[in-house]
Amino acid sequence: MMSDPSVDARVPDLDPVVEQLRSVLLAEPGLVRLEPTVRSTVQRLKLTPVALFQQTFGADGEEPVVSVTDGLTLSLAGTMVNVHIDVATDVDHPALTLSRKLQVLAATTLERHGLTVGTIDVTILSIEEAPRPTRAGDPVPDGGG
Amino acid sequence: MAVNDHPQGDPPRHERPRLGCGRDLDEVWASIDEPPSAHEQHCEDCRSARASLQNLALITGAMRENDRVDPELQPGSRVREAIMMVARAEIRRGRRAPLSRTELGTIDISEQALTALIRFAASTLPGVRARRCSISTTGPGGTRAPSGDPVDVTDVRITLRVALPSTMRIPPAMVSLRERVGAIVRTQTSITMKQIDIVVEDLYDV
Repeated sequence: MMSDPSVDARVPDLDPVVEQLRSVLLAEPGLVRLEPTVRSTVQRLKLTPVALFQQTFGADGEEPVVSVTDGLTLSLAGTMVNVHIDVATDVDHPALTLSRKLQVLAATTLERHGLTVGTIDVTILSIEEAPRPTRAGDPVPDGGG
Repeated sequence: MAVNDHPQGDPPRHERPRLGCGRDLDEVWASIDEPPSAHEQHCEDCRSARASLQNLALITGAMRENDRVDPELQPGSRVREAIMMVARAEIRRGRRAPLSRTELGTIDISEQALTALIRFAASTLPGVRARRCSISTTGPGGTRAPSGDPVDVTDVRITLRVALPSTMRIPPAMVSLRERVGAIVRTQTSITMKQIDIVVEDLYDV
């Protein structure tokens, strides 16, 4: 396969970054899950051919390279990485404060990968009571049987 | 759209492909959807170029249409169902309310998350059973904002319907309920609601 080393060097592989970012965010207390959206689902479906095309032919200033997992979208525009995070949060943790923390965590993770941080937008799609782990000695819930 | 992309951006003007009459081919392409100009009506080069470019536009349009109906390119039923499931959930989430703009980016919340939070807040008061909750923001002049517009967080007015135990004294309960809902929403989102209407639509026996 023919490849242009200068192009390969310019386009970082965002897939490992998105996976690590997902793990980092989900480890944050108060984040129940990353929520899939139509945008992230459709982008994930078309990701492979688009990414292949962009890594083969992409050049500065063209369509951004995108990496998507449920609730998390990274897009490379020029030298900047933009992030969109869709979250469901635990009602025991103030959602706005948690979202600010997630922005900082995302920025730190990107910088650790040597990437330049663009914008990090967070959308709170759900605030809910997270399931609590049962402790030994807690009463067993009635199964209704 | 340029018909002759240059690897390092647009080529210098003198390097662009030109017709015999001296016109830039990109200029002809740029006005391909418009009626021919006076020059184009009489210039043989321009007429020929327009005909070729129109043919190109027709062919690419036909190819796009073919792709749209080609059964080989249609999503499978599982893919379609997965997308529709997410789409239905997204519609239920409603409008967005912008909460904050930090130096890193924006933070917003879906209308559904906000109403769920309000119902949760109400239910933390013993005996209160929260039912439907709706959020309205008024546009300029008191008109309701269009449904696609973001929620105006400086003017959030809610109507919450609840059921209470028949033994509960309603006036003090309403005061506590307003305080509880207002405080929890403020803590979670920083939104200070302008109006909290509560409708006691049912009393239940205890």
